[in-house]
Amino acid sequence: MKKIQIFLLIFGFGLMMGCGKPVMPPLKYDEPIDFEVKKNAYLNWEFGKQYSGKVQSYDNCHNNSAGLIGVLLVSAISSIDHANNPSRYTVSYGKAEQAIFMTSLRDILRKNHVFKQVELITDLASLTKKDVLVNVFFKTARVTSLGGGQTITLSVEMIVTTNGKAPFKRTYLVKSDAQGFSPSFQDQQIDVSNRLLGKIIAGLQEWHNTINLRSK
Amino acid sequence: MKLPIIRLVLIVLSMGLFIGCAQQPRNVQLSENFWQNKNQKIAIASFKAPKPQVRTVGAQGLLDLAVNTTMNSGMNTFLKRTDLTWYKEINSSFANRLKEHTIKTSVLPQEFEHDKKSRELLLSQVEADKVLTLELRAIGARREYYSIIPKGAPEAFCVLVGELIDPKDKKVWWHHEVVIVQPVQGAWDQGPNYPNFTNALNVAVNEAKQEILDSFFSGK
Repeated sequence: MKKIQIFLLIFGFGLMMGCGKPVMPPLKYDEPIDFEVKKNAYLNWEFGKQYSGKVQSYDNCHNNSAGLIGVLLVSAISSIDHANNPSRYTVSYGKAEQAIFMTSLRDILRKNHVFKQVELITDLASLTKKDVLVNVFFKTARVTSLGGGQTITLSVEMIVTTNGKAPFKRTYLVKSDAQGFSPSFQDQQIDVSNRLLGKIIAGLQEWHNTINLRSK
Repeated sequence: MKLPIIRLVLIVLSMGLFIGCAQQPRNVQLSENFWQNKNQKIAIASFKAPKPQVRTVGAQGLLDLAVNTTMNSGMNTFLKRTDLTWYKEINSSFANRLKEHTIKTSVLPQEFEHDKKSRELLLSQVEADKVLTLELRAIGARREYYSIIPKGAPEAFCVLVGELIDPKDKKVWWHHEVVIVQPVQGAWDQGPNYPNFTNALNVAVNEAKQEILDSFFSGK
């Protein structure tokens, strides 16, 4: 009886593995962050345009040697499958990845004690004038599929506002370039997210230096 | 006995060399040093735009290529009318943004040919500290084929390359290649004006334009 249960469990896991695409894990940041702002910060995430890429399907990989009739048959079957399961053939840097990015950014800022307190926010009305608002707007999140591989391009606008001072605005463009033999799409997601994370943290440091210079 | 081993080593070595040849030039990010030099003068040059057309990719023989080109003639006729004013105006977009950063900028009035000779001539004659070149490498549609069988619908296609070079030592300060492949929403085969395809092409062009600007001014 127990053996049957274990078998069913493994079988169930096996079935589920095929269902969903792997989700990007939380990001890590090991570089030292040596600036401190004695204020509460709120991170606001804005979702912009999203363009998905295509996954190389079976027919694209293998039908070059199938002959004309073979190609026609495989293409016909494949087009039906594409119509029935569109999500299986598309990849994106979507809301799920952006949410993971934002929570990772919050956790890294918390861990390094950059602000007194860091929270993700959805209601801007609850902010006080003393608080720091870091608005991260994913203007474009694009996946380009060419030659069997994918490249992720993120164009992100960060605006930091505090105490009625002029907003500090920066735009960052990052492109995935994961190394190694045939990197997976998740590798590309992690690579592009780490690049963006580095830029955002450098941007916050620049903002901190700017307000310090102004106050001196 | 030794000879086959040497031969094998040479083959492996030469394969390694060929792999290097096939790689595309990597994007080069613009360093912060560039923005600190406020006395430098930048000249912006652009190259002649290619003919907008349908690019057929995939396994095709010469005969297949001829058949596919004939089949795409309607779309090619339509693509000839593509408005490329945006490409002519992209120079001034860069010039205005550079001037906002108090960097002296001039836009060269003529368009250069794509060949190596014109490129070298430009770099040798220009009177500037750095040359910013913008090049539309491809525009139109892209469609995959196996022989004469299309593997899918045509997609809007735009390839734009930007480069910042020091004419003295030919050092590349910035290089960015934008490749946009934009699928058509809804039906694509709506000749003679292809409205859905036109929308996709407009998206591709706007995205390419924005990305090249965002890349150069990233962090600014």
